[in-house]
Amino acid sequence: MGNQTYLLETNDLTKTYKGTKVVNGLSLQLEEGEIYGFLGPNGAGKTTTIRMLLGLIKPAKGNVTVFGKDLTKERIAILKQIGSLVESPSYYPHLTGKDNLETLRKILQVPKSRITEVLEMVRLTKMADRKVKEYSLGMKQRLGLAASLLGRPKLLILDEPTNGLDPAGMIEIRELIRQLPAKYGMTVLLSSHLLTEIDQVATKVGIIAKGEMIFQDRIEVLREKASRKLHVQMDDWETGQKVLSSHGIETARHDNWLTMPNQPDGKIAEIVKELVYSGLNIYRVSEEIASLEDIFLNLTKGEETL
Amino acid sequence: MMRALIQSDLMKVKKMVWLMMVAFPAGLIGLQAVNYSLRLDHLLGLHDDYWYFLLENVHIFWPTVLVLTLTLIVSLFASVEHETHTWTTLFSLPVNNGKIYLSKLAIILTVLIGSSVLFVIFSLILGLALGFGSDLPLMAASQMSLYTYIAVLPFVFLQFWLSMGFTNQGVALTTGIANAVFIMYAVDLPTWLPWRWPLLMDGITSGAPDIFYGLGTGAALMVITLIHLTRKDVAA
Ligand SMILES: Nc1ncnc2c1ncn2[C@@H]1O[C@H](COP(=O)(O)OP(=O)(O)OP(=O)(O)O)[C@@H](O)[C@H]1O
Ligand SMILES: [Mg+2]
Repeated sequence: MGNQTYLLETNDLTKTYKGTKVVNGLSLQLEEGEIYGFLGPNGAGKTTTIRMLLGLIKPAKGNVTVFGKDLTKERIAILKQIGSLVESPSYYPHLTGKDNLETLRKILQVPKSRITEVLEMVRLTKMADRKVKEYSLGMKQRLGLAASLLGRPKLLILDEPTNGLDPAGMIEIRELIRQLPAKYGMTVLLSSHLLTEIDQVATKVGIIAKGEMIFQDRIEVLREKASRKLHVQMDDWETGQKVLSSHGIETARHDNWLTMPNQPDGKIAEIVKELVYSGLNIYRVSEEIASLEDIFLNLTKGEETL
Repeated sequence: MMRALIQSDLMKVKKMVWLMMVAFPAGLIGLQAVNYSLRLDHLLGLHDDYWYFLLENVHIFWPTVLVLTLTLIVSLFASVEHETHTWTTLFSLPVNNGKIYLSKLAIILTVLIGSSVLFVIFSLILGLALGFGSDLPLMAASQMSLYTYIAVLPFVFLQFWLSMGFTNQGVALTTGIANAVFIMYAVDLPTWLPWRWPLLMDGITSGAPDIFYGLGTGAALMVITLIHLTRKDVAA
């Protein structure tokens, strides 16, 4: 891994609006073939970061390198290989879906057949000749996605691409995105404010809160952060607490439930045995796994540090 | 690349633009047709050269109408992109930012030329209909139209900057309409003020000095406008 070059890399990226650092010292690394989930609550600075990645706004500090090139120096060469969908999809309502893509195709200078291809990829072929003002929000979102794929990009940057889609549509788009690296050799950066949305597609996750990157690693590493707890329900919790504390296990109580940090299997067997030997009636033993969403919420609340 | 950009922009043009290109000069000539038909004898008695006098008459309100036309057309071109936040998509394309604006500017300037040419054609048709004879004042009519066009260039770039640079079209439209109205009262202004230039006060076939002011100021405004627009953040 050492001194490898990244497909996209930012260094100390900072953007200031009216004296507030909306994005603060962001260092983001994206490897080829990855699907990078860029997570953060509303207002965290995702869109602002993405605008800087595309050179739409100028950072106050820091730099962006894409395909090994400096964005400020070789912006056009870089943009040739990037497809993007930023914030709400943009479209001309008085034109048909196909004509909307045609306005972009002329500039991207790809063959006309590419329009048919991308329309099929997002399953919009049937609506292609209808004016976009007749489209539903989900169809517009698909059209935006089709537009981002038009130039056969090496890197696809999608800002909340499943915004406004129904659950079935979300799954469909997620499936499409998931296939992109293997099928077309694309690398994807995908932003969202919902962990569940990228959980199933992302290979790497970056979490941004209040403009700062608070976590960036493989999604498995995030999963390991999931804290597990053990709950035991019994009739006489006071005795139970004493017994457990004599074994060095501190517990919290809720009704007649005792809660403790998760233990290895052998230790659990031992705990239960001790409690039973002490004459207690054990009603339930259960394990609680904090969901990824909980971890994400905890992280972004800024209460817990990593 | 400019060709591709222009073709792409042409696809997005709203029909209203073409309508305005034709309707404004047609409307103005229509009014003069009414004017002439109501008091033909009186008007013919005012000047020996019927054709030249007709051109002077149709030209009186042409600067105002042209500034009104360009204000609305520029705003239409800008709102096509503002309304649905397509600037972001446009500027994410592998194209020099300046070219995106230049393409729109080229089309706008061409539409205004179209309007100016139609204005000449409609004027000549009116003269023919009034029976001024087939000795058409092609040269004078073309000079009148061309000089006015050049003299309003500063307003084109001012409107371009206001309309493209700011999402809210209120400021651009108010400024443009105010300028259009103000031109009607600019007769007594000093020669160096832009509202006076399109009036061609030294005669409709005499461009100097107005077109030189117009060209110089126009070029300066164009450079400033393009520099500002291409450097600003694309935030919508
Ligand atoms: N043009 C601007 N001027 C001033 N402040 C801005 C501007 N654009 C964004 N901000 C501020 O920057 C912060 C980050 O905004 P950004 O749009 O990047 O958030 P986000 O992570 O994309 O949020 P969301 O999930 O709601 O899309 C917000 O507090 C926002 O108010
Ligand atoms: Mg956003």
